[in-house]
Amino acid sequence: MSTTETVNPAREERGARRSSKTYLIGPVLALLSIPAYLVWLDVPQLRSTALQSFALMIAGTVISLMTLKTDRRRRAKGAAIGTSGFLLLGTGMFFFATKLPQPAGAPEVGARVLGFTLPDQTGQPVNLASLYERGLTLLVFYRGHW
Amino acid sequence: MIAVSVDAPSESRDVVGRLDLPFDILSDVDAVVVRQFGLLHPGGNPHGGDTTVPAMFLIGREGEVLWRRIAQRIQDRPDPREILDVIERLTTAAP
Repeated sequence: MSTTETVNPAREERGARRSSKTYLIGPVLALLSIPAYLVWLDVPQLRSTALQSFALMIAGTVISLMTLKTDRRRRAKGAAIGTSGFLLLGTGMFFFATKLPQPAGAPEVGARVLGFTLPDQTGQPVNLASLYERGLTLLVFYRGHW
Repeated sequence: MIAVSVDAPSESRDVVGRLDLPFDILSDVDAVVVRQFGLLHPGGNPHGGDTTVPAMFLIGREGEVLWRRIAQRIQDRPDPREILDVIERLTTAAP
């Protein structure tokens, strides 16, 4: 059996394209938006805006769509649809699914706060007035431990 | 500075210890004060039950609200620098 191999540049190029993994860059970038958000959760500005995650999702979507120009395979199309959908879903979740009920009757600027007494972490009762009478007081309501 | 959450005092004790907090956390387990402040988030507690909408109030010596910030979304947190700026403005403007 003789093996005569003729190199066909066009076929080689098609073969290279067939095994190309470039189409994965977009989805990977887009998915990195999740750990990127969690890593900087302690930075108020990034927590409130998720700028880094939106940048990654948008970059991933743009790259996926650009890859379609040279890669017409179904997996590349799937990647583009996936990243676009992920961007839409992420935007929706971030802006709409996290909406909180609007406060009903929260004390406005200028109004007096209602007095209260609650136990602190050691069980000792603390009266709010006893704090602000001593000076400017920052009262923080937060969602709880985790 | 004082914080309020719906956690039990023992849970808040853990938080204060773990994060080495220089301020106390008050415990409003039944969200009574949270309700009085109009901040109830029904079913919003990841551990089950109700919680509060994240909010901050700067309170003067007469109990008057000088500044407030109430989150519109779960992830909204004011920048500490903004709060410090407000405090600085208020304390230097005081007669």
